[in-house]
Amino acid sequence: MAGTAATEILFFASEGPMARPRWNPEIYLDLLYPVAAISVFLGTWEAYVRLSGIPNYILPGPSEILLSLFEYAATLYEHSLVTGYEVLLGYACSIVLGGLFAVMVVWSSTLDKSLMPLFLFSQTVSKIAVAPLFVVWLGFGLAPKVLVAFLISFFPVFISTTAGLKSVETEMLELIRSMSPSTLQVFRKVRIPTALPHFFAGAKVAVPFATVGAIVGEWMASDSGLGYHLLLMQGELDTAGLFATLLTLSFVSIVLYVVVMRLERLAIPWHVSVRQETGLNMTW
Amino acid sequence: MAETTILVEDVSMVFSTRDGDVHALDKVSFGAREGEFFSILGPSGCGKSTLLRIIGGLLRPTDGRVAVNGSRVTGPTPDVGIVFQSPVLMNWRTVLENVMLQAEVRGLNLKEYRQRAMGLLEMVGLAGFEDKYPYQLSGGMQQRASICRALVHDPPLLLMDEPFGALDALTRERMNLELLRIWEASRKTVLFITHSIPEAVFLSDRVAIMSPRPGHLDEIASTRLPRPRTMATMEEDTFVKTVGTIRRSLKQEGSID
Amino acid sequence: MRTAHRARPGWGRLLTAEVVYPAVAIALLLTVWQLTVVMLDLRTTFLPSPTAAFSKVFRSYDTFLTHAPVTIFEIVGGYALSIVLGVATAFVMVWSRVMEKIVSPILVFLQTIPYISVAPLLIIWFGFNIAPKIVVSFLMSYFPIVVATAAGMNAVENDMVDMVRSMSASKWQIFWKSRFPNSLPYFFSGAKVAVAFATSGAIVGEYVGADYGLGYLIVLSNSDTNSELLFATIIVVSAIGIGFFWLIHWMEKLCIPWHVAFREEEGHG
Ligand SMILES: Nc1ncnc2c1ncn2[C@@H]1O[C@H](COP(=O)(O)OP(=O)(O)OP(=O)(O)O)[C@@H](O)[C@H]1O
Ligand SMILES: [Mg+2]
Repeated sequence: MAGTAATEILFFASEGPMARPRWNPEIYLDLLYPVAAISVFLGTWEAYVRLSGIPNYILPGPSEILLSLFEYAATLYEHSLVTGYEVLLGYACSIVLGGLFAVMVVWSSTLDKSLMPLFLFSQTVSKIAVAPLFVVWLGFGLAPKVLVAFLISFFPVFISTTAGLKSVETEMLELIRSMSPSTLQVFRKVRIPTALPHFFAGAKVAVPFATVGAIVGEWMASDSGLGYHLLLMQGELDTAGLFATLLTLSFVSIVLYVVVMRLERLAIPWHVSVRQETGLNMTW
Repeated sequence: MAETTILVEDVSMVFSTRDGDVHALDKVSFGAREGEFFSILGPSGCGKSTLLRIIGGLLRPTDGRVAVNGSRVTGPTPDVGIVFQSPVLMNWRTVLENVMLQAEVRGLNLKEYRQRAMGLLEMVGLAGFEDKYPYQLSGGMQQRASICRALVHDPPLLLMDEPFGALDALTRERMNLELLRIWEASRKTVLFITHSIPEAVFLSDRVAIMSPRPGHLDEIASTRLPRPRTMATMEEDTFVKTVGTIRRSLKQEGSID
Repeated sequence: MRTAHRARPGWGRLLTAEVVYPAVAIALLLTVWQLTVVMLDLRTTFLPSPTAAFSKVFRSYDTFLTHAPVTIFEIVGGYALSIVLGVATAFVMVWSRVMEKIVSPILVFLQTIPYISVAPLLIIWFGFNIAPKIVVSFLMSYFPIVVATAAGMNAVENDMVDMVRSMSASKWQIFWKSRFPNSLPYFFSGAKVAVAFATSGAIVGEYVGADYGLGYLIVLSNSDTNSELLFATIIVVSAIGIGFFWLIHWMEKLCIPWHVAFREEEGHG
């Protein structure tokens, strides 16, 4: 979205010819804005905490949170392995099954008609509300967490991939059909390349969903994982520790997000525009 | 007394893009007099639309200067009507509402201009389509609606970018005659961009010829045809000759094979 | 409402696609479920039959009458907040280049955070009342609205902006006449996604600490292994979710009748 913004761009922003070198210092200048804003925010926060004498179980300052992060480093590391594993498994299932079902639904109109309503119906049932059931059914182990992570993150992948596979222009389809291809060829040559940007958009949206699923799963029943640690810290009124856990959790989510973003760049270098990169695009 | 309404001096335009610079215009100079019908002919991609945008004050040239009515263009030119190459209708507005956008934004009396808008729509053959949405119209009908939008506030300067490109030959002829009728009645200054040599000759007082990119304007031909012009004008010797001359110049430019 | 009466030849097909197929699929699902429970003679604690679950909704209607309004109030509060603040954020980003440069990269990362996890913190701050649920509900539904609305405001063609500028329009007019209406379809698609998030947010907020609400009821019935009540609550939560979704969908139809999605469908090969 950077670059398309207001009208100034069109007028007078393009002063003179401007060669664009590969290494563009402008990009680093652009980073300055958010970094400055965040620094101001953290500084104000710290100053407020120190000056107002607010009890630290209500609001610890950033410095205290940082200390707590070091203090709990080993514990947080172990818990994030547990949660990371749940997230990754659930997310992988979503990617594989979401992509697969999307192809199936577009491949065969019979499958479309019979599966689609079920998927849409399942969408109306709040997965978060169903989460406790899985504990009843699957016990306290890894399975219920992975299942909730999968269920919550499946739909965005599935629906945007389906939309992508269907978004091939009629003329393009007619063109390829005039070459008498097999259905597989239609998918490989036209539909899948067209769908990739949509697929990645869905995959990126699904990342925090998978994390949310794992955490809610852990809240239902568990004795390890970052979700569990979160509740532990809450119980002990260790708010700095709670913040540290939140940070770790966000870190897990963001790492996965960045990985997906990189993969996207590798897979569809022809499509990655600035707007795409900021993730501010939604196809559903 | 014919004053120069549009003055373009040594205008160059370079677009800087990711993969290098695009030289769209190269030192273009010309002037159009008040009340003149001035056409620009040139091959696709030579920078005609870019030039029109610059004159409308929507784009700043990399070099050179542009003045409209004696004052230098530094922002959107006031009191202008622009017909863009594509209709750019708002799909959330009906045809009439699209035309009335001009009056709304300019803060004109809506009631009064509504009458005018209806009259214009009728003139271009869109009577009965006022309340339709753009998607319910054909491409040519959309373009005609966008012409009404450019005319509704009766601007003294009209910039038209291939306004009839999407129309069939017969409608095009009719629209040409209508445009001439409006022009004769109000004597607006018109800058008209087109691909069609006969159309340019038929409508204009003078025709400018642009070279392929980077666009350079090297020849301006006067048509010297009497007005008012009718369909019969197209069969006159002068008309046929002028069309021939211009075709030959374009060929020399390498614009047509 | 007048525009809604325009002739729609594709209406019959739309009805089939939107109503008949899902109805058949759901009926099938419920039948299989009922038969499984009856044939295998499952314990109610493991899996109640659909008839048992649905009848529980009515049998315990007074329980739901106490708890559902609390949850609905939280959802509405959080959702309304995210619509107001979400649209305002999008507007500020589109209006000012500097704000866009500051906010947009931060937003990319903020939106990847699993917001449900702040619920325990909010309970410390606000206690067991409805405030933390409204905040979680807001945090969950805010980002889809910002992202979609900003994308819509930016998705105006350059030609369109130029066209309005050529009318000597002010910056405000350019926004109001072109960017704002253009963003409406995007806004609504974001708003539809967000309403489900707002619901989840309120429920999870209640999981972490509450004495009232449907989320509390879920936790309660879970710890009592009262599966019948659990299923009945899930049904009520889903019904609320569907209700909100259709409300937004209906408002969308009312606000943007010109949008592609509401035009007559033309056959897509
Ligand atoms: N915003 C832009 N950025 C980069 N290049 C541009 C831009 N606008 C136009 N160009 C380039 O400038 C050249 C001239 O474009 P312009 O639209 O003015 O052509 P034109 O003469 O109107 O062509 P046509 O008759 O096909 O409409 C083209 O080569 C085009 O690629
Ligand atoms: Mg052009």
